[in-house]
Amino acid sequence: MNNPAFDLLMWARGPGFDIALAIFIGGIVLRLTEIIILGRKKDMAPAKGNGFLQGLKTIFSRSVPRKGLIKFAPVTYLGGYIFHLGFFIAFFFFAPHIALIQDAFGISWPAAGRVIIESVTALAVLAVVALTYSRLTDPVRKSLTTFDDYLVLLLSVLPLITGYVAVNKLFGDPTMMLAVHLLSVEALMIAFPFTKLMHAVSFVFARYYNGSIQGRKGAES
Amino acid sequence: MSATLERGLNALREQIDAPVASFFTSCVSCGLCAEACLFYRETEDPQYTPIKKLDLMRRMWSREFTLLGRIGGWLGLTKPITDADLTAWEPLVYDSCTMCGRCTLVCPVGNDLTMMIRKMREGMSASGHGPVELIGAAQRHIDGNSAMGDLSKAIHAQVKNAVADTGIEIEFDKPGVDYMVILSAQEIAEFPDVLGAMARIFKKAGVTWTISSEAFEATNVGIQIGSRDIARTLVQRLVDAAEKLGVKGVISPECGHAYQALRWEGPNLIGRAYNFEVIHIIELLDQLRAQGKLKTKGMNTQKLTFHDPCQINRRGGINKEPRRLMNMVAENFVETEDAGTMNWCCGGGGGVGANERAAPLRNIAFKRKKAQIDKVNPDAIVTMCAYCHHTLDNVLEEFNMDLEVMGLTELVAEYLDDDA
Repeated sequence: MNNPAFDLLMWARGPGFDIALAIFIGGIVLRLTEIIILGRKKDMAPAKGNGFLQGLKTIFSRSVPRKGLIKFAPVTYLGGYIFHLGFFIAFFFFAPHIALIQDAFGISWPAAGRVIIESVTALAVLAVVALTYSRLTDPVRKSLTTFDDYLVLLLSVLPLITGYVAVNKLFGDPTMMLAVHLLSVEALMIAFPFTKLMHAVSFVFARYYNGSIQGRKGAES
Repeated sequence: MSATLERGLNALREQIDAPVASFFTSCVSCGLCAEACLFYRETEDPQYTPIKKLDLMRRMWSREFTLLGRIGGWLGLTKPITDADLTAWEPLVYDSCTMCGRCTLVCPVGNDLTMMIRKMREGMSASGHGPVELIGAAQRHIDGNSAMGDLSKAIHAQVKNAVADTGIEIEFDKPGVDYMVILSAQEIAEFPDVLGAMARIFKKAGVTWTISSEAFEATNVGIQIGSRDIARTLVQRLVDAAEKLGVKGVISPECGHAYQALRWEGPNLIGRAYNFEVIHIIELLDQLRAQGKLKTKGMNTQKLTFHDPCQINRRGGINKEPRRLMNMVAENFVETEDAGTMNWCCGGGGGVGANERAAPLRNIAFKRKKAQIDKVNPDAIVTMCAYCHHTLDNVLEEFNMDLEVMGLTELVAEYLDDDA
């Protein structure tokens, strides 16, 4: 069969995905090794609170913003929440994704309906647009933003857009669009360890350290 | 590369550990730390965004501690830190950060930015950068007995006054007592009433104590300027004195960074645990209260509010203790918005108060604190840090705000029940 779209899809599903997965996992292991290998000195001051437990708690509790702060950076806070939640729901609760996971790992869970998936996808895309706009215009965000930040936004939004287009057959050849969708995911995976996308793993360490440092002193985190 | 620059970069390099690497790896430059910072909030100048103040340290981490950064360095894509960079960052690291720690509690990925500022100052000071006032204070304290110069005559005079006022004997260098009391230079020079207050409270509670004539000064400019060597020397003096006297504990006074230095950094600076405990005066008073050894009579009827010193509450974990004491003696105790863990800094911490160059910026940043106080409109402010006390006194005057500031220990002593 001589169908370039089909060939591309097969490549993206096969060798392409394997390469991306290897870089994704190998890269994360490398980056985490770079962190952990540095170690930290044992704290010799007698502890007042339990640093370990507060470290674990902070991994979760820091997902909630401090009281009264949302109004000072509404786009960052709300855009951030909507994007992250939308991305995760679309990724983990779209029936075809669950089917893929079941094929690979033999586990599955209930899927969300099409309306939910498409709504959160659209909202997540809008959130990325808002976050990009704030990076271009807000003085604080603008002064902090580098090429990496824009690349990360682009790589995060492409799977959402291409997935939406492929599922709804909005334009182009559906097989080709599915291949493009897969390739966009693979681009995200390859870039993940070497860009700020890595925060999605390293935040666990950062929040743990923060909570454990504060917790030892009996201070809040 | 000059020798001082190399020394500075080495000192900075030594500070990069797993927490620092995880923090820089996790930063998504969301800028939320700016909203937590009193300097950014009052100026709205993006250069005061806390993570930007750490940019040189981030560059070093990226260039030397990540594979991609190293490759970038070999290809000449990134530049090493120069002396000009350090000079440019000095005002950001010293003048516009009181190490108050609010950003550390706000960062969504959990970065302890304040700890990184503390670390970055190690590199700055080792390369000869830092406010002249802090360098001078460090020299005075290393050469003598206090950051303010020779205070040994002053401490003896203040003790004499306290004895005359209270009729209670205060002995220097008495071995085997419960506690060695140390004071901040600010207390000795400006708020000596705390001595008489402690004498009365401890006598009533049956606590025995002494003052070492060799080491009575609690402040530690080493942790403000960012010099482990200076900080270690000053902590070691207190440890030697306390261990020589064989006391059960050392009472850390109403001073924010002194508590941080002796209680939390100290054992790590000298490389071992102490043979005594370190307790903050307010922790001790609250313990005595719980044991029924601290009883008060009557209450202050003014509208009082409480100012939490950053290093004692947010970064020191002493939050409920002062409130329990306040409720013992203050009938009309009103909390400010953001009181407690997220309280706003007085603007004088982290060496900023001593730094003349920072004065105009400090006065702008104080507007945050002022707004917080104005909303409550109290008759007086109570605090548990002599330097916050000093800063509040000075800036309130500058803003023509007629407000009394009091130390919590003195306030409690005022209502001590002498008959109980």
